[in-house]
Amino acid sequence: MNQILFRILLYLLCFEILSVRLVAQINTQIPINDSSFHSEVHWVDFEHFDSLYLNKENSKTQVFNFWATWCKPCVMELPYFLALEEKWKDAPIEFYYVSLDFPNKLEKTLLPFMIKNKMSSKVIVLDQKDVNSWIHFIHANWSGALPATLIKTREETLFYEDSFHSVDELEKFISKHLK
Amino acid sequence: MRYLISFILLLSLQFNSFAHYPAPFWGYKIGEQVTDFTLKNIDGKMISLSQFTKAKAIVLIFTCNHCPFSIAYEDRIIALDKVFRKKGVQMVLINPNDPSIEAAKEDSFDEMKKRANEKKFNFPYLFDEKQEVFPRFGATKTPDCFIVKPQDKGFVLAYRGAFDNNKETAQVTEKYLENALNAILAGKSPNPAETKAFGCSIKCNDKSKLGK
Repeated sequence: MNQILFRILLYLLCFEILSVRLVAQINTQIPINDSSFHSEVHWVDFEHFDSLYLNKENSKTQVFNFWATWCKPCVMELPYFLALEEKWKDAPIEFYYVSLDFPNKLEKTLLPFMIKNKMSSKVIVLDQKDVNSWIHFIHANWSGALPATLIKTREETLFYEDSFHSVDELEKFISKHLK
Repeated sequence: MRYLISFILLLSLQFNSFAHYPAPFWGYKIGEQVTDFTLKNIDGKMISLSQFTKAKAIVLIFTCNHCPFSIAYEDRIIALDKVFRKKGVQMVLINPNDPSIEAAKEDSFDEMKKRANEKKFNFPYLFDEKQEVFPRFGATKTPDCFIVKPQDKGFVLAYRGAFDNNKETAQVTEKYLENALNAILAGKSPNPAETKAFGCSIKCNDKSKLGK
């Protein structure tokens, strides 16, 4: 009897170690170390994205810009977000750049893109496994097209599945909801 | 005991992640009548949905040349067609993008012809040049998949959403489109009949056509 119990425990232990190791591969920070540029990217699955960022206790307004280096309209609007983030760096607002770049191409596409653009902002790579199990937790109205932007203030959640065409447009859009 | 608890927690998390499939919010609903359309194929001929009344089902995929998601699915579309054309399923691809928009310049009619030739598409690749067809379906991205089914009169929508649940073929665990086709061929209703997928936004200057 004891032996059986021991075996079950051993099995569970192995399972636990294995699952921890699998999680560690994906839910880790990927450092970027270029000669003049240092930053990091956090590659996460949805559960981690949800607990660490999306539904984190936060008194600040959060802006989540969903983008990818392969998405042309995303790359076009990205400078507006970066400019506004810089302009509002002392305001109670946080910008997150949630990349849907393909995890097997991070080193080939996303990291060089960030180095080239000296993009030291908070970049999170959201793993796309089984989109249908979590997309509605980000926002019910998200049809799955990029770019998309989610703004969470203390009072409300705002979702916008389209591009912005100037810093001004983006600033007005966010300001309108910061009362 | 600790491991047992975490094991149970882990299991419950996994079940939780299959919670439900939310309905997309725009265009034809499942079971709704789909109106006929006529669009130009890459060979210059006009193709209408009403030509396919004899098919068991018609797979309509809004897709394009430039989007990496669309490109990732090209080979899967070709493979699906190979299996299901023998069973009476018609595959039809439609490019919904406006190539005058910078981000979609690779989606011109000439580029469509080139891509279809390179990939040896064995099915129509139509151009929604006036951008009047994709809004009726409520397609918002490429690729966006739909299955329509002939009925006594016209066609009805039987499935809409993703091709499968992972852009990486090796990691696919749910073949939504293939399962839906098998259900339809067996005389059943697809389950799920609606899913969501990631993709490139459809390039269109008239935002009202994208439900905005």
